[in-house]
Amino acid sequence: MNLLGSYIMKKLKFNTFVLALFLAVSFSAKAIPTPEAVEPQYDDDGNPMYYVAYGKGDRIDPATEKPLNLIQIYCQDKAVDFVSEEELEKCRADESLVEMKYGWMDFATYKGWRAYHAECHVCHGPDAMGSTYAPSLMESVQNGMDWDAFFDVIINGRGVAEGAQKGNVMPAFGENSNVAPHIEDMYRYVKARADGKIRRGVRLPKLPKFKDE
Amino acid sequence: MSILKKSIIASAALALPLAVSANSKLEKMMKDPSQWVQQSGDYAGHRYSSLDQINKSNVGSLKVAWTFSTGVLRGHEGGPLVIGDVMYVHTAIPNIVYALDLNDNQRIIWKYNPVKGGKYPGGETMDRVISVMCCDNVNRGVNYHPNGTIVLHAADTSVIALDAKTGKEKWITTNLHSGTGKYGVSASTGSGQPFIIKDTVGVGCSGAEFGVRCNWTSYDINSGKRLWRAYSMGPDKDMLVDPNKTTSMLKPIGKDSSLKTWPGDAWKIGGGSIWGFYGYDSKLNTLYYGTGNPSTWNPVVRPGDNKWSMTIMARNPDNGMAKWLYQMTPYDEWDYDGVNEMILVDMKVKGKNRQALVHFDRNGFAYTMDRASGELLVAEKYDPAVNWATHVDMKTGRPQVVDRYSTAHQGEDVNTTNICPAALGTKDQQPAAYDRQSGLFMVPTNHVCMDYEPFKVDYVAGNAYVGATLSMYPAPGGTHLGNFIAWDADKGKIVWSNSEPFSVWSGALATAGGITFYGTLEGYAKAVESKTGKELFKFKTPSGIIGNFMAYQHKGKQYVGILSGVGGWAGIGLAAGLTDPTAGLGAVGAYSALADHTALGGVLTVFALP
Ligand code: HEC
Repeated sequence: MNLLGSYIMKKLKFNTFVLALFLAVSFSAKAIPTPEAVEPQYDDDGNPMYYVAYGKGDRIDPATEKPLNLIQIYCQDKAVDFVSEEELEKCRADESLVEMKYGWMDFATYKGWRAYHAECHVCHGPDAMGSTYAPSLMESVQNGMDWDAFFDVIINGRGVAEGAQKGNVMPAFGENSNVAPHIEDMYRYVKARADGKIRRGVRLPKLPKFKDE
Repeated sequence: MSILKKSIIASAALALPLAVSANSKLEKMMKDPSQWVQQSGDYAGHRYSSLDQINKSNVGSLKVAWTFSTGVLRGHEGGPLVIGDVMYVHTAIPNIVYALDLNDNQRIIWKYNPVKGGKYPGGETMDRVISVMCCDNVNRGVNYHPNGTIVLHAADTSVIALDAKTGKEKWITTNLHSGTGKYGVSASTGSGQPFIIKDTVGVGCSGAEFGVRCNWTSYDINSGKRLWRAYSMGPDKDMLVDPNKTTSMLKPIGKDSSLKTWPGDAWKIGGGSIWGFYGYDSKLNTLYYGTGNPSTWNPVVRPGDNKWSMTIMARNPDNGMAKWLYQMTPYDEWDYDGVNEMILVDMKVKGKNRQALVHFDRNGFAYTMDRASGELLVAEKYDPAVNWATHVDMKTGRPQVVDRYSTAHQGEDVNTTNICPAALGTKDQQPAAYDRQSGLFMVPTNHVCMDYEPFKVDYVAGNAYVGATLSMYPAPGGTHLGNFIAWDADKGKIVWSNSEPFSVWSGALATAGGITFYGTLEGYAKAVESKTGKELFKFKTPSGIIGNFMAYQHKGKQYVGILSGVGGWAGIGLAAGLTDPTAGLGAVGAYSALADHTALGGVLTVFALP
């Protein structure tokens, strides 16, 4: 058995059948090219949109046959966040990068993810899930909050006077240079969460930065 | 009485410094187990009650004696006081204080609300104050001075002295007025307890996520006049340190010890908040507290040790001068605030009698120090999951950081993964208790790890200044987010450990009944045997518990009290659970959302034997 095979055996404990299938699929594919940057997306009405792409297979937990949640992405036996650019290129060439099988988000959505988890999660909870303090933005969008309303609340905030009834306040971020320029991107991220495209606890790898961003 | 006799008494009273008498009065009250006169029970922070009516053999039949809704929904940290026959209960913002008559079915004697017309005494609106609290509207409780004063440190940083009998304001001083200057203090908040020493009250400040340069400020208890202020970082004179006399690791700290460790004037927005539970030793006349994270969370922009953030400080409470300092996490890269409680215990360490200080830090190490000299005696991990450092070098006192988990080494815009503990630490503010019977420390802990990605942000006065993203998840190999442990501070070892589905975010209480109380985020009030950890009692209170247990005795009967009211950082980070509820990861149940177990609401629950 080759190195890759034994590595997969070790990491994923696939049974032989699944292993064979997996190898057949991965070896039949050509070397995976470096992903292309994608420009920030908008829907037909001009609202900001995300770009999330998934690869061939999801990663399945062999025990439960359900998608794995907290994904550790490996490149040549190292967590992908800790390999050098050179190593990453190598993994792309020899297909050992499991990441490629999983998916990507565009750089704009990634920036939204990052801004959210720097500025908003202290009240709205991790992954836009909500907290004991502030509502789940994922649910807000699922329940029909559109881009205009989203933008408006973030710029102007919402205080006790405006209806925050439980002693909690949504600050106004209109003059905050760490937030205001990123509202479109945050909406992209929250919308992708709301549409189930980015799952809880999963850090999707990002596509390269688009030139004009 | 003859005139002569009168004047002798008067002069004797004059000769005796008032300060000493007030202090000894308070210390005497602390020794009376029927009262609970300070947030930590006593100056040493033992959180120990010598009452033993409720004990190992009967705690199983404990019943709810009475309950009291605070009328406030947000997270309730801290706990009530009992002075004589009156209980004082505080709330989250708006920081209401109630005085309850224990002789008359807990009738409300008075209620004080510092927010009037939507504004705090400092002039700031409640909305604005709420929006710059980092992690929910918590307050860690009021304290008592024997001249008949209850002191409240309100969220807008106002220090408010109330007449304990009537609830009338004696004086109000806003500690850190909002300013809009470039390095204004415009986003400071107050959440830590006001700390009474002699005839003074001292307060820290919160706001390290907003680029505030924090400090400890001491006020005269009778007039509210400011006595001294010591910053956590900056020029020596701002920090009240003496380059030749103030020591660290037993050596003088030297000139400009802080300025040298920051690029340019980054120290002006350096953080170093102070909001935990503090200690005081009246024999050594020393105040002990810890300072929080350097700001921002992006370490790349502030190369250097960032002194004296993340530091245990020992100060003379009369003039503020620092005796010794010990920085636990130089150049923080993970938000491991050093603010947690200081527990003062006289004990044997490595065979020698020591006046020890024991501190369970957010960074995952438990430190035992000589509190007189500042000598480092023991520094060991109190959760085996801790991985950001291999150990603490006992010669230099520095943690040996592992590059793989160093967010500065990995750099800006890189997601450093699997760091343990998470930013909320192996333990946050939830204070541990010292069991005087077994000599063990009863420690509520978190068992959570994180990914952390630092990046550049602008400093905008009055706005959040964070500069890192993080995601948190359960520590590898387990299905739980918390442990309640017993710790041997001499050997630096865990003696027993009970796992809990969620972080244990409530302060413990050890008692002479051989039992220790703590609360859980789902809302359980629990009692365990102190020696073994065996669970003896459990009751589900109306909301998740982030408050601290206390005990008192009234009309000969022992009571144990706890504030429920889920929230705080725990409520924010864990409310939704840490993983995708729909994804299969084996033990899904154990990772389920806190929101599936409990909802908001401040309620005091008081237990007694039937
Ligand atoms: C200080 C805490 C806090 C912070 C920080 C915060 N929010 Fe909020 N936010 C709230 C609260 C509380 C509400 C709910 C107010 C109410 O009751 O209507 C809210 C409401 C919202 C809403 C409306 C949701 C709905 O369903 O009506 C949006 C959108 C929102 N916030 C976005 C954000 C974004 C994006 C950020 C980060 C840039 C952010 N918030 C940061 C506290 C906060």
